[in-house]
Amino acid sequence: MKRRSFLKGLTATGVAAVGMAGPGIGPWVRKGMAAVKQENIGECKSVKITCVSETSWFDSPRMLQDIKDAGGAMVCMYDIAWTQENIGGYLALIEVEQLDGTKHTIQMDTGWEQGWTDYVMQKSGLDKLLQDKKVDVLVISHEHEDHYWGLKSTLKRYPNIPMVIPNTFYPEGKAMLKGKYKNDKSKVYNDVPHTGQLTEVSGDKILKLYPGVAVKMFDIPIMLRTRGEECLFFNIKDKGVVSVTGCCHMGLLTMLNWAARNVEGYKPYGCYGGLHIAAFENWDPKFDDIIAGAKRIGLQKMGCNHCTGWIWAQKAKDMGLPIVLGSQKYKEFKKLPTTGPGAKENVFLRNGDAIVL
Amino acid sequence: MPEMTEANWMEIRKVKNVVPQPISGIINLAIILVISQIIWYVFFSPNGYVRLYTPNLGLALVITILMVIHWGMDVFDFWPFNHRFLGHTNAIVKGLSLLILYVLIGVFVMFVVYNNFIGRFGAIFFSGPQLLSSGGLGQYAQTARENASYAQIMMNTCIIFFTILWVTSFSYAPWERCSKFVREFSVWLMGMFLAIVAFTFLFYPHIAYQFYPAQMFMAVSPWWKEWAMTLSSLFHFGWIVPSLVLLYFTTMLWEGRPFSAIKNTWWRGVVTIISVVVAGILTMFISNHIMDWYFGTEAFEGGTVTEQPAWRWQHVAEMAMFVAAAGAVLRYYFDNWPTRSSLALRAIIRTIIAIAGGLFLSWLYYTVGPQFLGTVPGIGQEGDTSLCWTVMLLNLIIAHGVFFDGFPVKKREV
Repeated sequence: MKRRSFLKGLTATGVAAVGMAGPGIGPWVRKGMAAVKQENIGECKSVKITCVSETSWFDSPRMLQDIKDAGGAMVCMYDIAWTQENIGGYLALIEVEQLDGTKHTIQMDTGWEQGWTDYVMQKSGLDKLLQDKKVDVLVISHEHEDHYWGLKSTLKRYPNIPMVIPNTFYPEGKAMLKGKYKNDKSKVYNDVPHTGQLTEVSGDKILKLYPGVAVKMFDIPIMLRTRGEECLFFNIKDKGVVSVTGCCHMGLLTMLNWAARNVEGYKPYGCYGGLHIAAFENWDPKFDDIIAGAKRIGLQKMGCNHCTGWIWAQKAKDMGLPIVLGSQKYKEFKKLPTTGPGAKENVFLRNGDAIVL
Repeated sequence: MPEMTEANWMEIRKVKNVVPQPISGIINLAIILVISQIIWYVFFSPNGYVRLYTPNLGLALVITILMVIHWGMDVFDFWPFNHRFLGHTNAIVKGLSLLILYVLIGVFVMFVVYNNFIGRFGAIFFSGPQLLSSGGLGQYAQTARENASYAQIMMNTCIIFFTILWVTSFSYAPWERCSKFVREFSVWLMGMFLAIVAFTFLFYPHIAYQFYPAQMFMAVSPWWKEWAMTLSSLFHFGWIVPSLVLLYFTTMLWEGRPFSAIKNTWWRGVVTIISVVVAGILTMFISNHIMDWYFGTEAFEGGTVTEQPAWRWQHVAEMAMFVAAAGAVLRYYFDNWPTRSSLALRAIIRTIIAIAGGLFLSWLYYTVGPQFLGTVPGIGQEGDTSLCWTVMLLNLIIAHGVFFDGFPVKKREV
């Protein structure tokens, strides 16, 4: 069998019109994936992303033991007794400069453990930005514990912050938004209701936040009984499209494939965030496929961390992918993860690092 | 040497309907769906008690039990139970005796033979506990168990396929003149031998490359990449399972045809093997093109969810098992309707019914599964598979139809 048209198209042209989506009477599963009329999302000047925290858990074996003890990856995350000393959270701060010089600030995700989340917010200055209402919008990538359960840390500082969430949240996640959720087993708790504008994004539409900035939700099933993940696309003038993800459960190449088919004038440029590949330093032959596929795309900068798995990032860098190395700032944080520090290179953008695209 | 005079129990057993069709079939189908729901909730469901649907642990268990059922039913003629016991014992007592024994053997194979014998003294990748105790990067509680279960799933699938392939192709040849035990044990050994050889070529390279760093001195890099668009051995799973289902249909729905028309045993064997393997591979590639159309997008190297080649190949196996389960419903509950007209015509009608039934079952699974089975809505979830439910259902249908003689709406005649 020959290579598929997707990769051929991207390799040859680096642009969107690969024309691979076929007709058909596809069911609901196809809605979030299929081709639609290409959207013009505009252009922005630059994007700066600060990694407030990418450490959702400090010890992978402990994290996996918690999941195994509860019954495995298909069990609902709200039914898992998470080891509290092991958890941190994921959140990122994104500053976008428009072509006319105006700036927007976007917070992606809300972390997990309250103490850690408050700590990293304070260390990065995000706490003050929230208190001063200088964050324009909070985008929740998905409902997973490490991206959403620290919601209270954000809302207690800025309860009416405009929020964007996937429209696939389960009742527990929605109850948290109302400040009416407490679960003693999984130790998740929020009593501060969200009072601001709430936008729920469905899989069949693109939400355009600002010129050159769009949110896309992928309606996919995700482990630990979660559904749907949204990412941010930034179209940077003269450079190309940058994706920013929480976990990227939809897959890096599948996400870019979607962008190639649906974003007008798409040109791949960079990515930031978790890529959900070797999340627990485990390996599978499928992960080699992603390296081989990514090499054909032509990304210029790849800033990855969190659930990417540092062994994937290392192997990807060794194979020639443009992995951006992190600094030593993460060592200034009060707690360090057990994996990664022994790696031959710092292939993650870790806590405190920033990347300008 | 003695002649092979005694027919197997499956060849001589007959059951009759106590209640007329189609009511009989509908009642038994309803009963098995209720029982499967209870068993799923108690043992497998993420919302239940034992929570074996991790998912690979649960899938490994049901496939191991299916393998043991095939050993008992198709190779060892229900040993240690003799025909007198099978023919004269109350259906409930007989059914429970067989089912409990085979489940216990399955549990023994999985947790003692794989986890504590083969995994302890030989191939460590078959044992989650041994991978875990060896330590090392990525060998953590959840991943070690899932990876070991994956290896068991692939090995057991090979064993089932090659055992059934031999039985269908050659029956007990070349040992048909040997004593009952020798010929049965020989076929069992042949199935194991072929499965081990196949596993070495088709799955072992995957196993060696599922560690970091890749165990490059233990196996070649997966050689199928150019055809499969992935290094994953799910590519081979994707043709073996449809091939197996084709063998099921030959026996269950087509009354042994077309292969039984070839009288020479060895020619029949060769033709069966080549036909089944080729048909399985064709089914896999054609199914992938159907999925291109259905999902509106192609799979490609490095893609995820429905665009992931490895998932596509796995989904071929999943769909094949939905069809197999529907075929088993037709065979065991609806007496292989239609039973009149020419064999060719009724085989075609039965096949169409099985495929339509399989599609309906898959629609049911993905539509109401989240409510009844505790699955997440959608398709293509990482690591998730419908096979756990379909193989469990197939096990239950075979157990109900054969071990329990279709009780309560059917009754054994012999």
